[in-house]
Amino acid sequence: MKKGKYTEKQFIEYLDRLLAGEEISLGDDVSDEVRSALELAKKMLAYRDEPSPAFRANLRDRLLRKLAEEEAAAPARREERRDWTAKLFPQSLVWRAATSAALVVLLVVIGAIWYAGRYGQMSAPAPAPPSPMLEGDYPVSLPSNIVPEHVAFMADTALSAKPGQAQVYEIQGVDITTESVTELGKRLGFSGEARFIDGGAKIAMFGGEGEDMRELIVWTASGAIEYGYVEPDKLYPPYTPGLPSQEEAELIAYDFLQQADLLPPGYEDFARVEDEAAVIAGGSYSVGERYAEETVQQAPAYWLVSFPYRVDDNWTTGPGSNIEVSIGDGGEVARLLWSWRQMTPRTTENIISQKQAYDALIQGEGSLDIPLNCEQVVVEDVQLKYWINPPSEKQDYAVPVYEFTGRCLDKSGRHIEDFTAWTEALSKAY
Amino acid sequence: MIEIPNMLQCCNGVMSREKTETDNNLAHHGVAASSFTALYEEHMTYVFRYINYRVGNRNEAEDLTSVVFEKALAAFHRYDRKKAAPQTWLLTIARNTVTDYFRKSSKRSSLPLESAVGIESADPSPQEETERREEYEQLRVCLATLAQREQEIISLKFGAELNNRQIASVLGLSENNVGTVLFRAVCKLRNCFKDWSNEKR
Repeated sequence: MKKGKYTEKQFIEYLDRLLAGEEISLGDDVSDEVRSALELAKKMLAYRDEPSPAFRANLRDRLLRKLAEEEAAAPARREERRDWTAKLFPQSLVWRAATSAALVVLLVVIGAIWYAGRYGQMSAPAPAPPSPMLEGDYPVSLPSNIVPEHVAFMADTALSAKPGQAQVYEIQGVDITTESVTELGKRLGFSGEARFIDGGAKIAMFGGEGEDMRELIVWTASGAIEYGYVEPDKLYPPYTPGLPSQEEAELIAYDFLQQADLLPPGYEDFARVEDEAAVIAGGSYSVGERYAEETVQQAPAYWLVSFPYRVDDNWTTGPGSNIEVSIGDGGEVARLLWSWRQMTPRTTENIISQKQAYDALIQGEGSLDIPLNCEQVVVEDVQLKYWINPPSEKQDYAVPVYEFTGRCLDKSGRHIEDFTAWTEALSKAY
Repeated sequence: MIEIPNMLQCCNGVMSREKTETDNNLAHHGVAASSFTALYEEHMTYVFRYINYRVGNRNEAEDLTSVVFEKALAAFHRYDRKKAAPQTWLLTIARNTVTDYFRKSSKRSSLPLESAVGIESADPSPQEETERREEYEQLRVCLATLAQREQEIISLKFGAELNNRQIASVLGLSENNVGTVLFRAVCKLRNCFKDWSNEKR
């Protein structure tokens, strides 16, 4: 494992134990850097403010009073409506039935007269039934928008002003059981039975011992899979790893998915996805020029093979849009992130134009998270993609979003870091 | 949507319906109130600590915590536990509230002296008390020098006590990225604090 990554991991482990209230004793393998960082962390915890008991109690009482007032207002409003209808309609059951029947007949007659007047002399077919769902019924959980004040936006790409249409997809529910995970585990070389962990959010299997211990985790909400070695040394070996060529890594990753029966439909032929699979160097820092003085460029610790994740011909985006296999030392599969979801077309909806989406982004209606010292956002590309939630979240629909990519510049025009931003694409006007 | 048992049964007349509806309102109120109270009791401290780390002022942190829970109360009937864990939901509201606060007040993390008033210590001597206050104040100074994202991650970690995966989920970052930024942010704090200690000597 690379020293920097190992140090980070060690620090996080100790910090989480501190936060859990454990008394920690640091081992001999803990560097001075981690020790001093943990000392600082202890100070941060020691000086942590707590809400005062008076504030806690007052706020609780105020909230409960408000809740009670709102609840009391609701039946009063219903009561007013009932009083009004009671005056209009008689209370006896016989009379109520007779009045209701008369009302129904009246409505049918009015409807028939209206329909004849509206369509009687028209030869055109009846209008298409309305869209089964209204806008807003397809929520998109984009990350929060965090944009410093006084940021200037510039589009360094042509933005189409033409609105269009796009498909909304229904994501099929998954039925993840300990049996299904056990079956998957067998295909990946695990033995034994899978079991629920993390309060039922995941089903997991473990196999091997020591540094060869592997885990298989399946999220019950989405069916997303995480597989790999528990100890990070397989991804970050303390020696220079013997990596296969990038082409070989791509084939190894593909074969692994095929053997685990994890190739999405349409991906059965390697030649069809070969050109779109991306291989990047894993294990070297890439955290932008903000940290340039701390960035150390090193040889890759593993190859990260990323397979295309599309819905029909459209790309997906978001934290759950991964089919990634990491190939480490000796061509071994060290990690898998797989969050593919089965979808079927549901309906076609109107979408806003790229220009409208860009305007929305400028108005703060999108999702953009950039550093505080970013003075100018330069949008270099915009694409329509489908948003996929994190593996921990169930998602009913895949909805189109506009994805903006570009650069963030500081006040002297220096490139600070790249950014990716999103805005919703569905039109609010249909 | 919070699942509230539907106690409204079949109604054979106005009187019986009224009675049942009243019962239902009471039951509805009882369930909603107890659910919200449980949510409040479990998460209020974390929300307050998160906000206090962000704004660096106890009074403003209390005001903003009130705003967060008032917003949460107003949206409670729409909250769907299946879509987001309570802490994630509340902290998303808290993040937006803090962002709005910074935007409206054109402030960033502030460092008023009175923020140290609430520090408690077991019978410290006056000198120890002064040192504690100074250290506390310096930690706030150092925290305010960090980039916004670093402050955010520090606040979610130390204030809200989220694990890296949860922070990644709240911020839309990768878990690895959270770990990297967190460690570097703590190292920056350590260096800032160390510089101050050396100068003091």
